[in-house]
Amino acid sequence: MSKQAPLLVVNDLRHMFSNRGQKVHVFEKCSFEIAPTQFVAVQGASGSGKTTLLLACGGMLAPSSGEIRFQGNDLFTLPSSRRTKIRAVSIGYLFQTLELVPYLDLTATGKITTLEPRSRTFRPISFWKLASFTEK
Amino acid sequence: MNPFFLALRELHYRWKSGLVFVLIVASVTGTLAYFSVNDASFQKEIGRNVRDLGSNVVILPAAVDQYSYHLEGGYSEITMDADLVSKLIEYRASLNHLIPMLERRAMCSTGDRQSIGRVVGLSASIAMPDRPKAPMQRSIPAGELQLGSELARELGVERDSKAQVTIAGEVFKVQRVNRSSGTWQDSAAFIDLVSAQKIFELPERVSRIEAIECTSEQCEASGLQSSVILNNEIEKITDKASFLRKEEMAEARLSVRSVSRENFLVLQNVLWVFLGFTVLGLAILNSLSRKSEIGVLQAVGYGRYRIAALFLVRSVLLAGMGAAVGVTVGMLVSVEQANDLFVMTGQKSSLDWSAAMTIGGVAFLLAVLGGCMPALWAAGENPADLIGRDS
Repeated sequence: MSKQAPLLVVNDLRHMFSNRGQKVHVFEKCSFEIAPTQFVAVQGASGSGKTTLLLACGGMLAPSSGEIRFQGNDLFTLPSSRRTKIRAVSIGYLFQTLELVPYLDLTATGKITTLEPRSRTFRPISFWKLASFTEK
Repeated sequence: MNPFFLALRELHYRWKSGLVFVLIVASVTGTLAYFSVNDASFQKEIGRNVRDLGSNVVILPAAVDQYSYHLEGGYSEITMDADLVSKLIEYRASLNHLIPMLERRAMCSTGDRQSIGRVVGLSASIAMPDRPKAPMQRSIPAGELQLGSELARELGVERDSKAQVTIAGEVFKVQRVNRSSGTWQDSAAFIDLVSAQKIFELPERVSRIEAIECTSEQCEASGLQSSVILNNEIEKITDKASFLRKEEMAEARLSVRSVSRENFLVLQNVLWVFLGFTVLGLAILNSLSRKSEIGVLQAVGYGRYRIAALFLVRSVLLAGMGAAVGVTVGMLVSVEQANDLFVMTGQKSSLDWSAAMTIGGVAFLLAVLGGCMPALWAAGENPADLIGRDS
């Protein structure tokens, strides 16, 4: 059985930010791969960079250095329009702060991009038995 | 989802902030529209008032000695060719409302009373062809006459009586007795120019031509004074006439118009700036206060141009509604009030479509700028940098 190509490749990832003039290193030399259908959990202490890592892997935060390849594409060398399209079609993300667009219900949020086929929009809704919330 | 429908959903959800936006834009555009119409009405009224001040330029035969002329209370029996009027028009002299006059002191009599009066023959005011104006002086029908108040008293003619006055053997029906003006006109009788030329046997002759100067543009362009410009023009047209300028009246006329115009321009500029700040400010504030929402929209795959379009649609819809309401109400109120504010010309006040288009157009452009620019800027950021960062 041939080995499946990885869905996500993170290579030598490093991220830091400035806090009151001080450079804070969130993580360094982070590398891993995730295959399709693989289920991965990230564990760490508060402030260890779990959210930052997921935001970077989701194409929503440019890391300070390193490479994130999703479906073979280096996310942060792509134009932002391509990255937006990948987020619309291939990535699902639940924000830590439960951010939603306040004037859209679940169905409308799912349909917000015309890239998403209607059937796929409803798949997670039916899977998680959220139908009663779709009009709220 | 189409940005237009998304914007409609957002407006439905945040209808109170949308209403505040509309009301603020309506207030500013309404004030601008109000003052645009008001200014046009105000200028008409000022124009009418200034016109009623009378002529400020008198063209006299060159042979008239101005010392004697003034000593006689602005009267001379020397005449000049009436075709000078045509020459002035042909040359497009910096004058308007030309009124050729022929006058003589003559015996005026009613049935049992008689008195010497200044009999003035005059035509309706003549506007320059490229400077059309409402007539300053209307023509007096042949065979009729207008009496100065003091001459009427001398002749025993009452204000509303249907008396007849005989001058040099010609009978004239009294058209009206003028109100007292406190000048020589109170002892004058006014008839039409052709009748005066006939009874005084001076065909094609006039004593003077009264007019209003229109030199302000040339003064601005050349830096010369009005009197210099007029003198140069008259010298080029004829050597048989000279002019005298009623300095104080001319200056007052220019001053009233320019002061009122400048005053309105200051107000108008302040309102334009206020409109700019209002529409841009509200639109920018809206974009900044929705950073987090922009981040979420980006995260779920809504592109930067679609996000900009979402804000653009919102700004344009609200600014459009605000401008439409404001301009309509502002203009209607202004037209309605003009009837009370401007006694002489208020009835002629009308909606100013050009101002409406300008105000609406500027509000639209500001809304485009205010809605689009910050949204485009925010949409260029990483979604993670925006989420949870509402200003």
